[in-house]
Amino acid sequence: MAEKNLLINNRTVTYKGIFKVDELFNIINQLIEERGYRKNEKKTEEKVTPTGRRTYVELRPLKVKTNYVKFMLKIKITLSNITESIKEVQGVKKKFEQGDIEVIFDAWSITDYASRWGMKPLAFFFKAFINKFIYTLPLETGFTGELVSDTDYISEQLRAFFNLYKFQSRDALNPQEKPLESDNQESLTPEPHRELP
Amino acid sequence: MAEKHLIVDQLKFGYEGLFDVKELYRLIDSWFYEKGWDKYEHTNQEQITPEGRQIRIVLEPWKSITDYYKIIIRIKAIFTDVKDVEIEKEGATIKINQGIVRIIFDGYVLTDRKNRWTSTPFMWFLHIIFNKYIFKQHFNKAERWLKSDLDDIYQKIKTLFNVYKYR
Repeated sequence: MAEKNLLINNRTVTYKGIFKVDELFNIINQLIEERGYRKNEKKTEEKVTPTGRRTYVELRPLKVKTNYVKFMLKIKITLSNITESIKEVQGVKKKFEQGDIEVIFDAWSITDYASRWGMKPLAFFFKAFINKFIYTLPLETGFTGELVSDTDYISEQLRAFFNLYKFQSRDALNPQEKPLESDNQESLTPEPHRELP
Repeated sequence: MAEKHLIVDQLKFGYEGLFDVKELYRLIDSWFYEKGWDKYEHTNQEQITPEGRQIRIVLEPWKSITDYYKIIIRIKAIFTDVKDVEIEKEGATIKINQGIVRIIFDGYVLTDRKNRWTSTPFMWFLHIIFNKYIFKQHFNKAERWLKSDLDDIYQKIKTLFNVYKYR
């Protein structure tokens, strides 16, 4: 039986506003494939209410490191109060979804040493004791770092992706907004030219 | 004795709202028929309660892809509090159902479906060695076939319910 070690628990990324569901799922796929994970959908649930749709999608992408070590990310995506709307962005009408998004990340490392080392209970005990208190193989130490780094990368990229929507939604909601003065190149005072000695 | 390998473990789908039970069953049935699967209905239970109908359907369609491999998909569909409602759409009255549906998919690959390689311990040993080292590609092919078919029916069910699709 495999041993499961929870390294990251409930890291949350939230967003409220307009977005596109297809793009959200595409970016998640892209990020997990970039880090070497194989995509795996576990559960989809949807509830239709008068205030909007509520969708829950659970993904469990998996990365096999060695014969005994695997990484699993649990990505729980909750889309609530989702309604569809059409907004104009830079003169083009686009269909968006509007609502709340909550993405929760859990990172698990799954080792299967019991099958190999658990044939004799004493061997399993020594392996676990030495691994935990005396000496951890550099390869194994690196694994937890890699998993945490993967989760950090994916959650931060997702946060950046939601920030992009904030700019788009600002354009969509306030198309008449004037550009800032600093954006206008002609108004900038040029730096004085200094001759080199 | 044939070995059953679990490939897809408890893939879940849930929906609450308006849907058509008959349409869903028809979709599943016709899909398996078109793909050349053999039908096996393990359980079909319905209870009528004051809250609505409680339906439990377990299907285990299977397909023999070679003389050695067989792929099986188990579909457990649990419908809770299903009521018959009428809605108006584009001036027409449509009879539909309202309730909660939960579907669980499991996918298996069965090896040695004719039980030819387990008659003696030596045959069993050969069968394990061949499966593990020599004919591993064939097993992977059966696995891919199963995953592809299961993904196809899963996406079709999502399309029927018009939910946001993760692909």
